This record gives sequence, C-alpha cells and structure tokens, in this order.
Amino acid sequence: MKMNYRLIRSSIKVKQHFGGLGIAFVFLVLIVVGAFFQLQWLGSIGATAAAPFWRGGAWVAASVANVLGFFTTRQVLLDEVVALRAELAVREGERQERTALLEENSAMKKEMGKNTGTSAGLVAAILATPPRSPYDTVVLDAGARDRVAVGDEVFSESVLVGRVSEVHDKTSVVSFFSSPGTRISVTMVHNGVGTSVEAEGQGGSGFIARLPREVPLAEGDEVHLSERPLTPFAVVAAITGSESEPFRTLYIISLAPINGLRFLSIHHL
Amino acid sequence: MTPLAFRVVVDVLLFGSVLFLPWWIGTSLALIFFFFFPYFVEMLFVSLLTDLLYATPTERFAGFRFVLSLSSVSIFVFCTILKRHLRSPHLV
Repeated sequence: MKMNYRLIRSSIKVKQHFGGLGIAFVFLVLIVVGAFFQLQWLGSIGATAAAPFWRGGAWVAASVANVLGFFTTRQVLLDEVVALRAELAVREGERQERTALLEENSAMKKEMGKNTGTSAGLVAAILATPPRSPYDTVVLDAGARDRVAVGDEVFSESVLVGRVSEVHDKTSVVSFFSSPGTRISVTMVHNGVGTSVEAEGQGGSGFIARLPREVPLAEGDEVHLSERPLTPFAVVAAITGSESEPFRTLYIISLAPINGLRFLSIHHL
Repeated sequence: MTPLAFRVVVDVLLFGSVLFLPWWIGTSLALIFFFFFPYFVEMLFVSLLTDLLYATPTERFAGFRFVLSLSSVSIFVFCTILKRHLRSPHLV
C-alpha cells in the first residue's frame, strides 16, 4: 500500500539525527581538548598545508595583473607615468622629512641611553589578511625556521603595529594592537603636552578611547604607545561628545593601515 | 553530476573560500549547504580550519581561540534539530 506522508519517526531517521548530533559531540570534545592542551601541531599542519595555496594565489594575482597591464593603451600608460612622477615627488619630500626625524629620534634615544632599535629585522610577506581572518590577524610567510618567536614586535615601516602571537614551522600569525577587544596604553600629545589613556582596539587599524572633556585635545593630534613614547603610532581621527557629557570619545586611527599591506618586518626582542 | 561529485566540488569551494575569501562567505555557504546534504560535517571542519589558521587567544574571549568552531557546533546542533521538523522534499 502506497503512503502519501513521510515516516518522520522511523528508526532510520532517528539513527540519522543521533548520528549528526554524535558528530557534533565528538567535535565539541576535540575543541575542548584543543583549548586546554594547545594543539599547536594541528595548527602547524593546517598552516603548512595552506601556505603553498596562499603563495600560489599571490603568484596568480600578480600574473593576472601583469597580463592585464600588457593590454593597457599608450595614453593610459602616459597618464600613469605622470601620476607616478607626481607621487614620487611627494614621497621624496616625505622620505627626506622622515630621514631627518629618524636621525633626530635616534640622537634623542642615545641621549636617553636607550637602544636605538635601528636593526633591519626580518621582512616577511603577508599571506592572508582580514577579512579572510575573522580575528583581525594576518599570516606571515616566516615562522620558527626563520627564528620568529611569540611576542616578537611587528612593524609596518617604522610603525609598531602588533606582535607575533602564534608561530608555526614556516608561517606565523600576528595580532594587531587594533584587534577588537585589545587594550593598550597610549599617550595623546596636544601642543607638546602628553595625556595617558587606555585605548581599545576596534579592528581595521582603529581604536577608541574616552577622556574627560577638560583634557585639551584636537583632531590630528599624535598618539604614541606608552612603551615607546618617542615614536608616533597613530593620530586622533575624530572626537565626539556633546557639551553636556563629561567625557569625550576619541576615534584613533593607526599610521599604518592594515588594508593594502604586503610586507611587515619582524623584530626579535 | 552525481550527488557525491557535487558534494566534492562544494567541499573544494568551501575549503578554498577559507584560504582566499572573507571568512563570512565560507561560513555562510557552509550553512546553506548544510540543508542540501546529509551529515554536512564539512561545516564544522571549515570553522576548525579557520580557527587553526587565523585565531589567536585574545582578551575578548578570555584566551579561548576556538570561538568560530564552538559557534559552528552550536549552529550544527540547532540546524540538525531544525531539519528534523522541516518537510521540504529537497532537504535531506
């Protein structure tokens, strides 16, 4: 006899449902074990397997860009040359200014008896960036084989952006100071006067901080890491808060935006 | 294309999305395909791979690094129970 309704409570269905939940339970146990025993080797296997694909993807992207560049017209190339020359002139001015500031900075550090910290460090290519990562981290093409260690400082040019938080054999994971929930101590500088405050990372190179209304501040003020008071780290991008509120909210943006980065340098502590 | 071959293609796309696409695309696709395949445990493995590749212990989650994986397990259990009550002939 043919039935026109589904047997939703059949033994097969029950077995299927418990089968699915059983898999979830096994997975939950795996996660708990991983959380307590820090299964580094499992992460290393994943990173080792993924690294060739990341490198391959970067190579394909570069090749496609080259092929597309081959088909551009002469006028487009001429326009590009003019734009690049103008940009080069601006960059040259910035470079000279930065060189002068670095020399001054280095001289001041020597006077204060601190390490100049001018070592080149290890330059590593970025394999994966947010938003591929849900945790605002990047994966670098350098790992334990290159003597990278957890806690090493990571710079974008001269700006300290974060620290190495996971090290695998050939890759490492960097946590930015701006990762959501990360709290750092910074100093705001307004007309030469510094004010220390705790800033909280918001992701995407942004931070948020709150200061009493009486503290003099303005948009564009420099922000320094408290542990590195001589090096600019970020700027105040915006200030909000009405006259009736006792505190103002500061929106701070790093001098080294994560978007568009291709290389970072790692400095061993 | 047989269902098995289709599932293999979907798996390749999902694991490729972990490496090359924003994380929310991979997890969203996994959630959608959960309703088209039986025992779609790939959803859990995609989350675990994402955590293994990108996660670090952070203050926000009290040092716990498998946040996405744990969320996926919760969603997997919820959707498994939900599927039991759905009667669409296209769902398995």
